[in-house]
Amino acid sequence: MTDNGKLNITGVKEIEGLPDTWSLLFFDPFDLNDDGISGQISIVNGGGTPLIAKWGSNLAAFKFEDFADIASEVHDININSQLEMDNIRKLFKSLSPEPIHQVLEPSTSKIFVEHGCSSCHVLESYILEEKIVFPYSDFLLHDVGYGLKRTAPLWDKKMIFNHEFISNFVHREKK
Amino acid sequence: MFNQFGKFTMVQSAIFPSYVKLFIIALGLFVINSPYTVIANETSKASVRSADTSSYNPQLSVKEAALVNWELAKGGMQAVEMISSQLLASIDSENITDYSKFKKRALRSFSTILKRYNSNFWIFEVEDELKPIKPIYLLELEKAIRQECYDDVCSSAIENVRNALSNLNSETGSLVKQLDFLIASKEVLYEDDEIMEEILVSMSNYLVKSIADTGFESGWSEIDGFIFRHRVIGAMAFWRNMEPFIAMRSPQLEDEINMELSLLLETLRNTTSGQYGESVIAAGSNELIEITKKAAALGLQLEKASKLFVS
Repeated sequence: MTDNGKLNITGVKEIEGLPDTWSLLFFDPFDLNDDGISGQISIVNGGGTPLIAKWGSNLAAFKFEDFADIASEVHDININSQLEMDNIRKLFKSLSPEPIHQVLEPSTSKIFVEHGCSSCHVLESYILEEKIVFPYSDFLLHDVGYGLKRTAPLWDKKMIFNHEFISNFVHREKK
Repeated sequence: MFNQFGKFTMVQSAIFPSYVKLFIIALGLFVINSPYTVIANETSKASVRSADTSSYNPQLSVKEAALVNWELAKGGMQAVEMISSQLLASIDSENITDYSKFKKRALRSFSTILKRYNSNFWIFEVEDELKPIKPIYLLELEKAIRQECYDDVCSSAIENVRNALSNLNSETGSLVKQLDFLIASKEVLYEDDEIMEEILVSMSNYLVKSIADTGFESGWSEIDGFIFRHRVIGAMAFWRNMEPFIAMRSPQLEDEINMELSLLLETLRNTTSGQYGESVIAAGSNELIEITKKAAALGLQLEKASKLFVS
């Protein structure tokens, strides 16, 4: 939910609806496809069954509740009951902006692929409640020079750009 | 009116204090991901309490770390099922007028299917009751997708893709159910160290004994490099999750496994090139001998690691 150090709560419902196998579509821990990028999944404890995490820029949790729980524990905030947790979840869902369900224009898509963006910000989609969702993220952890971070979904951005925009801007703020 | 008003009041009173918490949690979610809290994050892991009855804890147990391999295999097969279902759904719901566009998309899906299926091929080598998908289903699918078609002939081309996908989808679905059952039984039947030992022995056997044959099971004299490299290294997908448990018992062995793994990866890169597997590996070739040697060396280290878990 947070990328670039900024809180972004876009797509809470869409993350909940992300297929469990999503990241396994793109999983490449040893860069076997030789694109120079390896992508790790994050496995967390699921009460006996290992689960693939999808919440947080560090992919720390499988469920929203777990992620909120980690945050509350780290910052010494008590969530005293299931009811409180449910309310927090409901609030996040209600405040969460719906992603832009955008299909890239062919010219944008071409540039996007040419610059290698689509290696992590994948072009695949999934269907949730009869809507096609384009997260533009493989939900894998990548080391791009500042530790392992999840590919930030781009579903809150209207993506219209050119070669210069990608060369000069993308990931610059993280360096 | 009374009921509506009463309900409204109740919801408001339940939510209002949570707004304050929401702000704090939001702040927490911001801070938890900032670079300055990495150390706090690490040291806090051990004290994270349960979120609910699922007893959440980010730290894997030994048993879970061992089961990851099986879960990944099941997830990989589910991914194959999901891709084939999506493609089937698009054939059924969309009026495909541009076959070349459809073909491009179908080929990309097929590449992912091949990658995921072959990365998890080790399961058939270590569990006799699991049977691989009939190679003919994959071959038929590729042939169907690659066929040329123009104008009105395309409907039969699409129908061929549909039939091939349907066969693959149904086979994968059965396989996922079998894996579900297998994982559930392993979870119940094995203790922590036992299951860790079992998976390490299985992977060791796969790397030492099966690599020379994998891909040639249908009597082919050569195999696509793309498929082969995924079959070899897919077995090590679990490594990062299991590594800490080996490191805790023998840091030296952990280093040796990492070294052998790097050598195997390097050999695979040198002998099977190209993102789309332009190269082939021939039965009895020098490349195959070289890969087999490196895989066996890694397998022997995994066998040593398995002994760390024998009680």
